[in-house]
Amino acid sequence: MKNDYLWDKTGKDPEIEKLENALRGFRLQKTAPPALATRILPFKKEPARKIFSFALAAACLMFAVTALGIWLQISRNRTQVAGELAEIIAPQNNSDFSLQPNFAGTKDSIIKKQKNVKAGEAEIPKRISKQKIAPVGKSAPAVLSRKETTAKNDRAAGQNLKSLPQNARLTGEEQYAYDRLMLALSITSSKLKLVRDKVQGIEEQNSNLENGR
Amino acid sequence: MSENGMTGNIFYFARSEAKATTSTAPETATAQARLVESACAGDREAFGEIYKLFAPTVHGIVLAKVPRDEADDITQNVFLVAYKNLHTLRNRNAVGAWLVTIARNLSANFYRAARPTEELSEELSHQDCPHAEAREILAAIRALPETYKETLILRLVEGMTGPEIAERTGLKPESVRVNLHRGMKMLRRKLGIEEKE
Repeated sequence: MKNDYLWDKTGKDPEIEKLENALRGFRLQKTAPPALATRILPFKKEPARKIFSFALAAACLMFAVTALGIWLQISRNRTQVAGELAEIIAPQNNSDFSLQPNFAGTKDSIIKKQKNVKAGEAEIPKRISKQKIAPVGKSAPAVLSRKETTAKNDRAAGQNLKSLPQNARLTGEEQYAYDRLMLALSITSSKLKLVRDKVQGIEEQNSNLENGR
Repeated sequence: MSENGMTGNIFYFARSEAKATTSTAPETATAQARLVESACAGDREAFGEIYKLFAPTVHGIVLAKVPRDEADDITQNVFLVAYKNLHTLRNRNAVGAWLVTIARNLSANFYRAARPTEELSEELSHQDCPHAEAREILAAIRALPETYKETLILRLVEGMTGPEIAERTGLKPESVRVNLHRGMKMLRRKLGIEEKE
């Protein structure tokens, strides 16, 4: 029966036998196994870990640089805001106050802020009276520099800042700097995510190999 | 072929092995597993037994894809790669299917690597080569679909029976039978042989 011969070589089938005889020349000739190595090197996992540690170090460094830049920018902004606030508040309460602006603000922005402060004008003097902003006098310096702005002044300025309307808090330049900072943060977080995914992929492959053993 | 190119496919081998349907008889599977374990422990004779057992299967799979002149070398390379990576084999009973997967991958890599070739003269091309008719038959088998051509080459070229093909490749006997029957039908049509009932 033809099918049986094709399956398990029982019976006879001249056609299939003819094909077998014709194709026999293509059969495997080398019957000896290949020459095997005397020593098999262990499977190396280190390159993956080296890549992982390098990627991690690079990500940490990038993150640290970005965080430092953000911190510097925030501290700079805080000082500017405190200076602007003092500039806005001082002319209303004491004519002896003659703080010269020591930041890159314009007259127009200061005037604009003064107008915006009108609504909360009654509260400001009370809060300001508790502050220790040094007036221009005999013993006080004529210009309030950044170095002389104390931590308490910053806190007080921050408290007053909350009572100010929203649109008076940040200038155009400050808003631009803030936006750029947010953009840098988002870029850093996306890169960190890429590194994490890559590391997780390598770890999965390593665990698969270990399971294979 | 560079060793880096061969060993670079190790992850593919380990993943592909899981897809094979193991259909070996329990005694055979145990014997194969024992051979693999001995070979992993460093027993070269055990690996030699594995070679004797599976070399015709691997050669047949390779011959279905690459030129005849390259088939023997690639077969040897398959076992070299297998020897180096035997410790990664998860299912010791599926060594046949694993070797078949390596053979298919190395055959595919053969065409990916660009090789400059020179045409042989008529005289040289016929040395150590079977008759022209045989080459035509082999070409006709190679033109068949993947599953049919591998099974037919194992049966007609390597002289394996259907149960042996199922055992060595990890396929189900029913699948091998269907592939043989349908492949033979298509081959007859290509060669113009009338089918006798």
